[in-house]
Order: sequence, then structure tokens, then C-alpha cells
Amino acid sequence: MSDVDERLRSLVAELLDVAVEPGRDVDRATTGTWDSLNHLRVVMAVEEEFGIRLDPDEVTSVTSLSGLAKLVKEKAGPELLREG
Amino acid sequence: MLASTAAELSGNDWDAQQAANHRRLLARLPTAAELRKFPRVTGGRTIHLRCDRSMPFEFVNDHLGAFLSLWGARHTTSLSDYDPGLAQVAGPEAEAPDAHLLFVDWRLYWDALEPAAAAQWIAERAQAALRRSGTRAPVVLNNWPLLPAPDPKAPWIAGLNQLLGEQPAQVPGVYLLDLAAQQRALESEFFDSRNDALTRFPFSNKAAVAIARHLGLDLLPSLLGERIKGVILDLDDTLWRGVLGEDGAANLVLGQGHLGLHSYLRELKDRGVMLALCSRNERADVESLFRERASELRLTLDDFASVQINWSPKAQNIQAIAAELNVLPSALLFVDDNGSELAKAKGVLPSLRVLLADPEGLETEAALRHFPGLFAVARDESAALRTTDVKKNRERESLREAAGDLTAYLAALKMELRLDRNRAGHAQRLHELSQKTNQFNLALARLSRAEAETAVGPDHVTMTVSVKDALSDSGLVGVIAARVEDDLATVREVLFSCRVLGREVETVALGRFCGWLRERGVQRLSFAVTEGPRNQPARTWLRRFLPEGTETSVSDLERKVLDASRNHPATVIESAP
Repeated sequence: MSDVDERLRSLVAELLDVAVEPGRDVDRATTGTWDSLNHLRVVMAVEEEFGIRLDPDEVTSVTSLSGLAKLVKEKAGPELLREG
Repeated sequence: MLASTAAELSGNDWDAQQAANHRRLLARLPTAAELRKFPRVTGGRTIHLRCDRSMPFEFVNDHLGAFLSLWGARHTTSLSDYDPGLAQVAGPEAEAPDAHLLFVDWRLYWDALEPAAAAQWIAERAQAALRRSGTRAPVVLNNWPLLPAPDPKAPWIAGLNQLLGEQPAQVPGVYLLDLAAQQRALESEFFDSRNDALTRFPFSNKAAVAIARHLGLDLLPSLLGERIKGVILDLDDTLWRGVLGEDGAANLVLGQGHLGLHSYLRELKDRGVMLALCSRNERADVESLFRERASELRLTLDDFASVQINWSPKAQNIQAIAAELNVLPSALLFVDDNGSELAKAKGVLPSLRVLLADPEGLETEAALRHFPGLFAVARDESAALRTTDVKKNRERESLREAAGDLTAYLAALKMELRLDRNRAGHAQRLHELSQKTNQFNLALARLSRAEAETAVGPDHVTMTVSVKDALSDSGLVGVIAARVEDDLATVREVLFSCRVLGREVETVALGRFCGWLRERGVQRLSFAVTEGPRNQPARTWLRRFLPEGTETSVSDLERKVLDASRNHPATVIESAP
């Protein structure tokens, strides 16, 4: 599990108030606390944490923790990935 | 990094090592991540906030707890449904908030209402919110930031903001959440169209933090907490860089940060916050420095109401400053570049508020701008008089020593008391005095602006007392307010500024107040008395005339009070409404 995955897992667990085991995915559709307000909370926290900006289409395309991780890795670039 | 700052500010386990972190947190806008990690206080005061809104408040509310922790408070928030009409403002009486926020998306109204109609509508909603809390809870409402240019709605927003800016003076109990000012101070984008499209929250993440800071560090501490009345400053590496005694006056560095700090301290003084100096130095050296570099310094020694420059322990000097300014240590903020000095002072005076100075001045100024309890929520009617009046108290002390007895001293002062009855224009000052006075207030009533307005209405007899003497004009410094029903008056509050205590002004005033009640046909009066930690002087004074109980006949009380003040030499001028 990369550093990016771990940081995202920690953020999602804190902001959605759910237990997330390392390596397990979290699905938006089946997570009761992942409503539209919390979705934006997660997005803003992720943007601040990784210094990136997600456009509206990207934000709405995120439906799971793994999908968010994929997007962050694409947006943040190789420097961030090396840190992991 | 910030682990112990909440405890530090609330006065428990204060640690000088954390003082720099505390200053940085106040001096710059923290990130949302820093705020999430910030420890919340577990004890302290809980503030119940009610928010009626037409846009999401949640993103601001997320950060509020961290800012409140900085002054030892925590909060609960009750949110209305999204309702452009704010109809739930006039909801059930059962919920009693400490503060009521109207969080309005003004874009919903600009096609339907002219700015004047919009301002009038929100003023009506604010009054409904005030009625809901029995006028005790202040109502805070937001204006609107300017949209990026070119913006066809700019004139509408400017018009609305101007009208909303005037409302705190027009609607008692209403205060402004100044989003336009937060936008001007924020160095990045305030609006965020993506957030708006997703949730109807039109602002950026940083804007949400800035709004929470404005509410949690500026507005709520000044509206609901104890305000800071005096700022005590060290000199070396605080007002300039360098050590006067070692480097000499000519070699001290006065950079842009120091000059900005001086200007802001002057601004605070002009707003009525008293300044004091507490420094280990030779007084003669300091006086010559202020002379020699007067053209560069933006402060003079005359700007300081109290000056303690000597080699005594600073805690001892701060106690002397508190006595001279006649305020409690909890209403003072001590600014020094030496963390151990702050720790030692706090060890002796735990309620003292402290700020570690930045030797370059820059962060000190920035931190003062958001230091809890320093924000001015309304214009202070007596600000201009305060520093001069306090300095004249030293001359009064000399007069008292020279005069020998109290009567001779009072005669030498040539006091003039002006007693105004139910003067509507005094409501704001009545409210201010009620909020600020801690030692001579009998009922600790803490009258809201709206309650102060009621107190000068037709079912009350309210005396406001202004004092002037040979040395200075103290302005409006005392209030006796009673609600009258038939032949019974209930004295809701007796309060006098500590600046005029020791001159029997309150006794002379009470004698005339009894006369006013008698003339109105009142036969009995009862006093609301609340035992607080600091209002012993007021309670002791009342016991001189009313040894037991809180109710008496007007004529009995008047006789006793007039006997006690018969030889008082003050000239009394009475003014009917």
C-alpha cells in the first residue's frame, strides 16, 4: 500500500466517520455517510493534502476510495508517487 | 505541533514552548488540515449557535470548533432547513441560542428585490430572531463578497453591503459577519464555482476557514466572552528589534513590521483599548529614545495609559498596571518576546492573556488582529476619553493624598454629575457598560443592545450618569435601570465604571434616582442582586443602605442615601427625556 493510499484511507475514514481496514475499498453507494456534503468535504481535504485541484467532472466521477486514489495519482504526478 | 495550544490559551498547563505556535496560528490563516488536528477543549463554556440559512453552513461550522478552542470555548450548532424565506427564524421558544446566525445566499434575492428591500427584509428576520431569544442572543448576519469583474451585480452588492453595514447601528443586537472584508483579506479566490455547482456552497475551502475564523475569533469572543480592555507591551524585541540598554537608541531597528505594529496599536487605542508598557529598562533611556526617534516611531509615551519601566518582576508590574487601569488581569493581554516572562506572569496571574511577540513585529500585528476579545463589534462611545481619564487618576490620587479627607478631596475635584433620564441615545453606551463592567454591577445583567433599548423605554426609569471633574471628562460611566409596574420598581441593574469608583458618585446618583421614582408614584423598590466572583464592591455598597433583603420602601431608602451623601460637593445637573 503506497503512502498516497494510506493518506487517502486516513482522510476518508476521518471525514466519513467509518472504519477502513488497510487494503479495503470504500464504495460511495453503500456508505451511508458519503452524502453530497461529505463528498465535497473529502474532495476539499484531498485537494489540500495533495496540492491538486479536481474539476467538476472529476469530482462527480469518484464513486469509491480506489477511484479517488487512481485520480489523485494521475493528477499529482510522478513526484508525489515517488514519495510513496 | 499544535498539541497543547488549546490548553495553553484556556489557562491550564500553560507551556511557553507552545507560545510561538499559538502566535502563528493567530497570525496566518490555518489550513483545514491543521484545524482538523487541533485539539478541542473538553471543559470551558459551551456556546449554543443557531443558524438559519439559505446556503450550506456546514463547511464553515467544520472549522469553528478549533477557533473557539483558542479561547477555551466549544459549541453546538442547530441548523435550519434551507429556506430562502428564513421562516424558521421565528420557531419554538424552547430553543435558546447564545448567538443566532442568519447565513444568507444573497444571490437568491437580487433579481426580486432592490438592495433597500433586501436590507429591510433581513432586518425584519433579525428582529424575529431577537424576539425568539427574548432579545438576549446577538444576531449575526452576513453581507456578500464582490464577484469577479466584470460583474453586472456589483452595484447591487455594493448597495446591499452599505445598507447591511449600517444595520448594527440601527437594529440593536444585530452584528455583521463581514464576508466582503474576509474576501479582501484573503489572498486566494473566495468564490468556487465547482463547490457551488455541487452543493450550493459558493465559497472556496480557504474562504470557509476565513469565515470560521471571523466568527470564532473575532465576533463570538467579543459578543459572548470577556473583552480585552488593555494591551501591555514589552519594549525590546517587541516594539523594535534590539536591546536599548545594550545597543543604544540609535542602533535599534525599526522595520516595516514594527511600524505596522505601532500603527495597529494606535488604532486599538483610538478604539478604546488602553495601552501599557512593562519593560526592564532605565526609564530615562526609554524617554530619551522616544524623543530621539520620535519622527520614526508611530507611538509616543503619551499613548500609554500606564508605564512600568523598572527592574521589578513583570508580574508585579502587571498587577500595578491592572490597579492603575482599574481592570482585572483577565481583561489584559501581555505581549512579550520572552516566553519565560509570559510563563512567569501567567504563573502569578493565571487569568492573564498572553501573546509571544515576534521580534520583527509582523506576526505580532497579524496575531493581534484576530486575538480573541480584541475585535470591535461596535463603535465604543467613550473610546476617546478612556486613556486620558485613566492617566488623570494618578493626579486624582495625588489630590486625595494632599487633601487629607474624602470631603476635601471631592471638593478639590470640582465634580459635575449629569443625570439623564431615559435618554434613548444612551442605549448603546448602556449596553457597552453592561458588557464591560465587572466590579460594580449589582445584577450582572449583561444587557444586550436590544435590552438596553428597552431599558430606556416608557415602562422603565433609567438614569445614566456622566461625570466630569477638574481633571478630565469621564463621559457616561454609570447606570441605574428599573422597570416600573404600578407602585413597584424593580431595579434590574446598577453599574458604574471602575474609573469613577471611590468618589461616592453612585450614592449621589441613587439618592436622586429614589427621588425620580417617588415623583412617579413608586412606593416600593426591589433590587436584582447576583453574586458574582468580582462584584463584591457593588453588593457591599448596597448593604450600607439595605442591610438585609433586596426590597425596601422608596422613602426609607431615599432618606438613608441622602443622609450618606448630604455633604457631597458635586454639582448635579438633571435632564428629563
